[in-house]
Amino acid sequence: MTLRNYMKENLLVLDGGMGTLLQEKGLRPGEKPEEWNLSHPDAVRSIHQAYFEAGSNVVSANTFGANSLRFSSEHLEEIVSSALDLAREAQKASKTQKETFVALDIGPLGRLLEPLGDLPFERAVEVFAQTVRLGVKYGADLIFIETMTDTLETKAAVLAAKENSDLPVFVSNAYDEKGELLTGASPGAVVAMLEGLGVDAMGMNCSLGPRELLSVAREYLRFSSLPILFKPNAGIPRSEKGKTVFDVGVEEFALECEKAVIEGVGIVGGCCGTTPDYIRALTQKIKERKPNPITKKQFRVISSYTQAVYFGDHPILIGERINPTGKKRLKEALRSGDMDYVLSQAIQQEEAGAHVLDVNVGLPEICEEAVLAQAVRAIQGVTSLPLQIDTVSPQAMEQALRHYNGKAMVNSVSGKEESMASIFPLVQKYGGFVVALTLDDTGIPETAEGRVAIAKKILDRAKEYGLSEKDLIFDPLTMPVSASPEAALVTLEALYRIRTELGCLTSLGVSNVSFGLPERNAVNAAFFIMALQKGLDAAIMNPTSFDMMRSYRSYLALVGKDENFKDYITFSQSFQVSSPIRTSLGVTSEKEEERLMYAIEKGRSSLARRLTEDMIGTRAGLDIVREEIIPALDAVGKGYEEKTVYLPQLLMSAEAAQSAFEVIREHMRENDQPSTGISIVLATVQGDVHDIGKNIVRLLLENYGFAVTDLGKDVAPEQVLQAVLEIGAPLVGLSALMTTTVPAMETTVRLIKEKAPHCKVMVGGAVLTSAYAETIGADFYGADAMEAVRIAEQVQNNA
Amino acid sequence: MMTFPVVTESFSSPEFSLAKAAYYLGIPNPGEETRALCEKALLELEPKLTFRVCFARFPCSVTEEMCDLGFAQVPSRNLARALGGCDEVVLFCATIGIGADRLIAKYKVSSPAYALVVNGVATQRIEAFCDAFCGRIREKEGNQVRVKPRYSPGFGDLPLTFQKTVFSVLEPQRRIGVTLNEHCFMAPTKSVTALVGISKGGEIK
Repeated sequence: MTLRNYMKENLLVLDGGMGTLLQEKGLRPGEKPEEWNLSHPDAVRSIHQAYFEAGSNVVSANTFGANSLRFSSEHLEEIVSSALDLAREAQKASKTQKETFVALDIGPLGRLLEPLGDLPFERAVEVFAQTVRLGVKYGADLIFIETMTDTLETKAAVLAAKENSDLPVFVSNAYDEKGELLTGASPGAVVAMLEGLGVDAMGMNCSLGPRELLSVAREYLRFSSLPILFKPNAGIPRSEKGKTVFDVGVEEFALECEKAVIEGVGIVGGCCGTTPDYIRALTQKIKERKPNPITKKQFRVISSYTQAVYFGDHPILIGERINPTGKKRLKEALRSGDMDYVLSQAIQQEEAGAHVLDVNVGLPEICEEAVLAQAVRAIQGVTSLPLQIDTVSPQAMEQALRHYNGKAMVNSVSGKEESMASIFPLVQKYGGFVVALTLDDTGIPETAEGRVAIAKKILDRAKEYGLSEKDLIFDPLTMPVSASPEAALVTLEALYRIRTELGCLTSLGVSNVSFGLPERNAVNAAFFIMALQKGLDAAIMNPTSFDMMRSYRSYLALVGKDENFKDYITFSQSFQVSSPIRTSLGVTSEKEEERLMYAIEKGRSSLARRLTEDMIGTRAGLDIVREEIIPALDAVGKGYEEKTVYLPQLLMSAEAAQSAFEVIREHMRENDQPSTGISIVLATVQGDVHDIGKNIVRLLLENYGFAVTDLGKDVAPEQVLQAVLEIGAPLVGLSALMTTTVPAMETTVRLIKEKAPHCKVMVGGAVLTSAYAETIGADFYGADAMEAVRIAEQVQNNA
Repeated sequence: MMTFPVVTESFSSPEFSLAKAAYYLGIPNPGEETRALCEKALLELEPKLTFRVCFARFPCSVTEEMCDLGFAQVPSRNLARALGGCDEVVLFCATIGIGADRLIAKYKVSSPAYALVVNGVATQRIEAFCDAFCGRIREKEGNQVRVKPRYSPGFGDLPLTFQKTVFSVLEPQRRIGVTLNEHCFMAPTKSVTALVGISKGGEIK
């Protein structure tokens, strides 16, 4: 019988611990257990056999750490083939009457994936894939991915398994005593991702004893429609007279596991500290039991690497700001590869109260396939909100869904045949909650009737791909009322009918309704409330818009969806801040605490922004820079040089000045005033990823009006040269923190001196000294950011 | 056969010291503004932190330049000095988790200055956690036993590559979520591995 069939009717018993048993047989601390497949095959085989005879249906081959990061390719093949052979031999030798199976066991790689770690996602997939291919070649019956502590690494392993085999895939994660993964994910978030990826069973193992782990199992049972696996430790280990003992005994363990089975767990075994005796007792305890029937859950859910967001009960806000349409600054940022600006938009929207962020980077002149995935990775480095991936390119969608850490929202599919044929297979493979637009090859129907009909068609097609109502959210399309006065009402009627007739959820891009009208915020906010009243489940909107958030918070307060008016009251406290206290005719206040200089010196960014906004209409931007910002920065800089002000305070002031400067720059952009200073190229040299120092220098230089092109970190010498030549920059600044990357700095300096002799080079960073700077051929050495400013001024004066 | 169990534990939040956090920030005499910033960072960090450690205890013997640690033979004069006279050693890996790295990454974008503050406070948290862990070893051993200061790979002549051995013995990824990259740096970055010598009667050099 196949494993998949067997599981439908029977509880499945896995094996128990391996490490402690091998240690008892002589495995030394630090020795790789997988080597024992070759050096001590009898020991490994006898443990497997003992588990089969104790009642295990599934025994995991000794391949937990068998991957190409730890073993050479040839040796890896020997290890995996011998591991599976030993398990097979044990299976044959055992006298068990049960149906039994051998699993290829896959544990974590021991490296953290990008962006917080350094292992690229595709590299992780490839490493897992190598092991999976060997597992298939040497006859594994299933793939058991276990003890995973990180969702992204789990996803890499699952993709590797599914892309390289048709075997059943079981996935088990390791939770801590707070009931979260070690990287912070809730069980709900993990379940959402794994169901989306289409695994056969999921669950939890290691780190906790059966009693503690049961609460995690309950969360899985609540959210998942798949068989749940439960493989706890025998409690906590301690040393007694040179022997390792665990605090949960054989009988207690069996009893606790039986409780889990009664609650609905269908696959059960043991992890660290459990032995064949534990498995025998467990098998005895549950031998009369059958798996509980699994109920299909109907959660409409997306997830990030920490949290799940559920749709349906509470209207969800999807931040729309990361979309270049009509946003000049974002277009500039995307064209120049300035990911920091994109990230700042993500953080702002999260702080404003968005639950999900839409990510669209579609511009004709960039490679969307690469940039969208890059943006998704980078945004997930700074926010734990789930993302809505927004593109018309199926290729870009696939890359982004692949790299996304969790289960994403997919924006969008439509009733066009081509769209459904390209998007649904992606959702089938990677998981996703899909925004379905009610338009098709004939266009957007003018009537609600027509839009509902398209929604039905999309739903039927989705079902052919194994998707259902819970995987789709319909967008009945907001059209501008300025073009057609009934447009808003048609949209609302379609929305209502999709909810009531199809039982599906709805989403709208709200802002489109006011296109072509003045004071658009007012119309958007009113339409938003009307849509919420009709049952809107999600809105793509601007969460930094005060009017929109006021509508949202007020609506929730009115319909009893804001307990004790907590969110409304918190929000109301921002009313005052958002209505600026105007100083008379924009002239600077006499009160010191209302002066921009003061705000900058004290490092108060929001005050500096507000004061600048007040002044900008009546004072020239450059006057504000010259008379307020620069004197304040000079005062702080002087304090720093005299050691009365320290680095964090200097930086706080620089940031406050930056906020003021942003306001001025925005104003100057509108009025086409150029920057005042020379162009400067900045980079952290190749091989070096430490950029905080370089970022500080950039901030200060920009504050002083220099036009900075920041190439980021780990930049190749040729890239620096190219930028210098393209911009015609008279000055370049290079930073290096590690001694190992100073040679790369030297190479860069040499290249610039050779190919762009007009350009001066300043260098800085923790490992450099002025003498060393001279030996590598640099023109200047900047000990800190203030010195970099002085150097730039000097170069400017000599130019 | 002797086994050397690796034990995993969680601790409660260790004591906060403004002076130490300010020291890691590079501010020798913290004023009110620094205090307010550090306290804000602490408030924001604390719910995102987990104080986890995994450790194992081994017999050890040390000559002038060679340390037999039970799980490895290590030629290191500095470590030999740090473990001089000890007959046992506790090897541990401690972390405050990935939450601190995420918060620092976020503020590096939105406010690099505040990122420095969060970084300083996070450094104080992991150091204080290690101190608390070593303090507990001292407490458990009692007055008759000398517990020496912790010593980490990368210090003196104990190479950073020794981390590979430490990681193969403790397996901290699966126990407490700490990983090691090719250059032997740990992630989460606010993690520490160290050796703590215990002398139960041998003469302390």
